[in-house]
Amino acid sequence: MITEFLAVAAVFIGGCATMRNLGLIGWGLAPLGFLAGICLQLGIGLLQVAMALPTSPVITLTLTVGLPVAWWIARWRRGHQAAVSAPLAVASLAGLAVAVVALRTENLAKWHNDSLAYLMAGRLIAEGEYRSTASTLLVTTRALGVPLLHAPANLDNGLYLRSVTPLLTAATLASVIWFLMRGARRGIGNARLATFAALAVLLLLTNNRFIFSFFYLNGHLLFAAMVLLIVASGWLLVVGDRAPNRALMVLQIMAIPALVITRPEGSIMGLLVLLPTWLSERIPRRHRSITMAVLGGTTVLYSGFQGWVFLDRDTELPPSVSGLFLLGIVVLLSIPVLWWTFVPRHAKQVLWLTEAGLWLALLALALRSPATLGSSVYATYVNVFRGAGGWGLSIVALAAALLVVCALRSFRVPYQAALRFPLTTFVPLVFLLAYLRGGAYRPGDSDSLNRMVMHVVPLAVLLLFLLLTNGDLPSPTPVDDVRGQARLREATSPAESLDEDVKPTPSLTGPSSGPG
Amino acid sequence: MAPGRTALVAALVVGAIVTNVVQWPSVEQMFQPEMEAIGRSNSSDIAATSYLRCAWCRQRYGLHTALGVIAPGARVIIATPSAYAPDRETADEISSRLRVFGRVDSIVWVRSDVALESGFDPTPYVIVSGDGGTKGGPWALAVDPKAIPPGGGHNPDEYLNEIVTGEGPARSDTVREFVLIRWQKARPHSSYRYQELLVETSLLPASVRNGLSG
Repeated sequence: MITEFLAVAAVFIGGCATMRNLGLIGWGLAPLGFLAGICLQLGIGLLQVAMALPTSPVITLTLTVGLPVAWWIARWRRGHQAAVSAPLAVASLAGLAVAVVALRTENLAKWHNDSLAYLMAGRLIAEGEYRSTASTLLVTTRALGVPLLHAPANLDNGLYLRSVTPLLTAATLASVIWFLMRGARRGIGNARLATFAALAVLLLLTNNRFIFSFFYLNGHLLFAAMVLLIVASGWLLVVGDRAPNRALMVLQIMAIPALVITRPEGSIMGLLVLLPTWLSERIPRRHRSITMAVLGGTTVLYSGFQGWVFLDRDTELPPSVSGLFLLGIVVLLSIPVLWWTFVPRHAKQVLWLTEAGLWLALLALALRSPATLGSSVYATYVNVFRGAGGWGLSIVALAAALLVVCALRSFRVPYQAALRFPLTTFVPLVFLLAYLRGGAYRPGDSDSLNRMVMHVVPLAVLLLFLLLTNGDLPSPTPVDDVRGQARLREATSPAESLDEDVKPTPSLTGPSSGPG
Repeated sequence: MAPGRTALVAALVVGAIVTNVVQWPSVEQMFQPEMEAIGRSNSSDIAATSYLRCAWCRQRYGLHTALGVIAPGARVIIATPSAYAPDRETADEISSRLRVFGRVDSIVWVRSDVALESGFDPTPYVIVSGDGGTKGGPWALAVDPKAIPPGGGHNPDEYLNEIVTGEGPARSDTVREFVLIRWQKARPHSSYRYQELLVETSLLPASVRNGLSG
């Protein structure tokens, strides 16, 4: 019990200290801080595993809490703004303690065969046996994210932390609402915003599989949280003036390694969720370069480690590992492209070309082997439309609501493509992955794609409610109009074409002080 | 912007929420307890729950889990070449299971072609056993009668049911030694012609013990 509280508190305090140092205040500090702490924990854990350092969770947790707190103390002593409300901090930790006790008492965990494999990897990491003992199959199919997340449980002979998955899911839900409140049109009114926020919460909390995610020992919700952080932070950075930019930037950067090491397709998903950020000149080039370097570097490091395992075991390197290594190198070598202004000026075309490329690749593979796509599409239809996947009609309803809102042209979010692109490319991507993994998806709740749908559910809900809270526009006030015209001129300048189809409506935003 | 359109979409969202609520019972009904959204289990120990509820899990990890409960911190000897090391991936997988669920302290791979002699029958010493299936063969754990822990059941297939855990101590006071070996005796009603056997070395005939000493 105490070990688990200390582990979760270390993640929470480390993440909150990081976010506070970067200027984040208010209620969002707790959920975003917790997610940031998980990113830190996984990032440090990756370095330990991949760089042949001791992999004890004690070291991981000590660094996760120690580095940010030392930074916070240094800032505080230098007189920088670092104030934290002591009563709120104590109340948060007390709440965390209550949550840990309650979740350890209630036996709510949900599991699948895969869960045991993840927890096996976690114990090997905690006991320093992962590099020497893990099989090539375990290293490539059960990515590091979940094992690293639960490894601290082994300090107490446990296999997993009872509270971390529910807390992660709760933090993701709260983060959706935080991003919604930051991204909603100003002047919408507190009552209306609260109503939409409540509807968003209800839409997620009535979803059977989202509730299941609170207790499911797997990486799908963790992956979804990282997708949300990267996409929503990137979008807020493009919009500007909604949240502390440094906090958003660091959040986005820290989420990249966590995304890459949580699922085998993490790096490919990373490309798609980061592309809108890379294409926006409203975001400083330095930040875009860093995100590109982190994605490329993490991919090289992680696939390089996997490659080392294969070579160490005298086993032939599979294309999935060498291909990812190559992908990481290509991303790193592509950083100079950010200095080529032609690309961001044609951002919209690049996004459409990328999406079209995914569909064409799928078409090409389908022509070669139509059975894989046919079976996968049928399985997805059975799972999502006929209920075999356990989603009820929730995904159909969510997609229908999004389509209706998008069809009504009056609902628009500034720089909408940054939020839309990761969702629409998810469809061809997952069917392409069926070919890469060498087998079609299957009907039933235990099918991979059926569970992968969760990866974009929080983001889809966020986009739906951002459309609702941005599109419902009253007549602009004269002040709004003046400010909005300034933003409009800036946003539609030749240097920014990411939202060519979504011109910011005059009353959408206040004066621009965004990056770039 | 027409507020009516917002009302329309909001109604759509409310409809989606209502649909979720209405469908909840039928959705929840389709799952096994471990995949239901809400529901408590008797134990939060996943290794224990999966051992009791999941045949695949017992086939994969049952033998190793049994060792972890009966003799944590043991030393395990595995002869090679054998079915346990046809390639490095299989050997690593077995090592991982032994370390994680078997709480094994050390694994020793010994180059030896030793086999169980036809005169040696570990049956009287088998205190835990499990059925085979698609995820692995039948298995048995044979233990020195002097070191049988209290609390187990009488039927080897059910011996662990009351005491199984994946979260017990990693060590015990004495380091016991076992051999993992393929026992060429079919379990009744099994399609497998053999059983995976973890047998305490003190039970083995001297010739087998000597054959494993390298």
